[in-house]
Amino acid sequence: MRAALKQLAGILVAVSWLTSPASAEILIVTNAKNPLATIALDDVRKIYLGKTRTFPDNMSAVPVDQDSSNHAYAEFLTKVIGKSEKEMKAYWSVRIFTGRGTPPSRLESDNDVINWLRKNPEGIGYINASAANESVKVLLRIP
Amino acid sequence: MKHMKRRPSLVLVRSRLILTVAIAQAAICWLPEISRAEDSSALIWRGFLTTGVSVSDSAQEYRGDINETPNFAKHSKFGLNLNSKISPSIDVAAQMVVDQEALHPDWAFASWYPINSFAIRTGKQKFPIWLMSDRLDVGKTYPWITPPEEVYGQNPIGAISGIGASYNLDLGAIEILSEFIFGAVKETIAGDQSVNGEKLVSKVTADDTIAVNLVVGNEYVKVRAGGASSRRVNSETSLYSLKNITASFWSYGLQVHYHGALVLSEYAVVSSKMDDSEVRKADQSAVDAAARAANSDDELVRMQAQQAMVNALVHNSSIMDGKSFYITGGYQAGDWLPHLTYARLITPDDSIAYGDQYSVTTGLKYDINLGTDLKIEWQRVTPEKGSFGLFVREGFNPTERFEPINIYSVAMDFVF
Repeated sequence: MRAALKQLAGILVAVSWLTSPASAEILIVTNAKNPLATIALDDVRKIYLGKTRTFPDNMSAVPVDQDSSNHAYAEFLTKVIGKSEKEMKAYWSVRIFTGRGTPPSRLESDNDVINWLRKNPEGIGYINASAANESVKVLLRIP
Repeated sequence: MKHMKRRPSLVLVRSRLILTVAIAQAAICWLPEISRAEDSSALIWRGFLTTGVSVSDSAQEYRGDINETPNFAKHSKFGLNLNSKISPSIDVAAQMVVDQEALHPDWAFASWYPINSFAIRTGKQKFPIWLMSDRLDVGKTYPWITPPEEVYGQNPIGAISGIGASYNLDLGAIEILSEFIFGAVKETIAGDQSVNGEKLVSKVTADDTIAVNLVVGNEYVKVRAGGASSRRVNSETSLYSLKNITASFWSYGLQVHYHGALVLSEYAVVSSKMDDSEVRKADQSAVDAAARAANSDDELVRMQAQQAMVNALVHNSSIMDGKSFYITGGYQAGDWLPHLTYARLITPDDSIAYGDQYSVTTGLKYDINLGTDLKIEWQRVTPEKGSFGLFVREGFNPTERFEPINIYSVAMDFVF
């Protein structure tokens, strides 16, 4: 009986490991016509926290976010912003209700981000690496 | 308007509260963030709501009508925020607030960013003269149910209509934010005195208000100094008017948020000076009123005479002078934030407008979800030196004294 329980526990651990979302590479992407070739992680962070309104070359930057249920969103918060979802909500609540800024718009999926960036030369977004295609320019890879 | 002249009935307040909560919940459920934020150039709305109740163990009325009858109105606020980015460098934003009975514009201004880190703003603006004074209505953004009244209750400036600028200097590990605004103030405030059961509502106006704010720090520690200087401050009530006051408000704040540990502290100084000609007018008015009262049996005339004499005393002293501070410590453990605050107000010995007091507040904030929290709070308020503290006074009886009280509060905050 004890051996069977151990086997069952082992199977459950293996299943949970296999089904847990692994840390995936995300890409910082922009419109294909954006002259910028690359961007620093800190610059991306400042754009998404509303601390700057431009790319490093002083061109206007309009960030777009992803829905909070997406895996890319969680990865982006952890790897780029360095804040939890709760901390982000608190940060933007103060800025919104004092009139000092608004959070980036949100889209539902990687494909929505790509489609939006095609139409917005000043846009910047992030997607899972697996969703990338030639219609957007990759500015930064974040493993 | 910060407080209303008459408290609405309990049933009416409850009905409004239920309606407001229902509207807010509907907004939260039916309009998820994603549907409101797809187009950054569109008009985007967001909102906040606080609903709560306070009750004390005493019939003595404390600031904002708190006594042994549960008060649902003091902590109930609903705000609607609208904003739009009309060009890459210009934003417009406005906020309306319903508190107790009144719907009023909280602020509305346009921001222009000629360069990346520099903004020019024009319109009616909240300004952080105190650490939290630009977001006092938004309960979700601070740990308490009632921010320390010893400090925040002394600042009559809710918003400034004028022009301002801000500059943000990023030095890597440290950021420096400097802000400036010049404009006029117009506020309606219920004071701590009442006559014949009605609060004295004061219409405060101030021309030539200059305010500055400097914040140095990073995401863990922020140190700030802020203040305002107002010339030609007038305060009009149904019984008296105070004119040509020059007032200044300064505060020095500290905010630490590091690995769950939270420290908030602030030291504030309010000082004022009266115009000499107004002092002479008040003195003469007191003499005239006393002469009228001597020949009259009318209670109102006697009260007005008493008020005129108090007025004269007020004019000869510094009516709003005071120093105050608070220190709050807390620890964010997951969704729970227990906290403890000590606050104190010290007024000059010759001041009759306010009294010394201190309070100890302990509370617990629980984050139900990202946009909702539940707070409970216990506060013990102790007037010092036999003074009025911040209790509501009936008439101007200088012999009236107040005992320490306990205040118990529960509130919920929403942002959506």
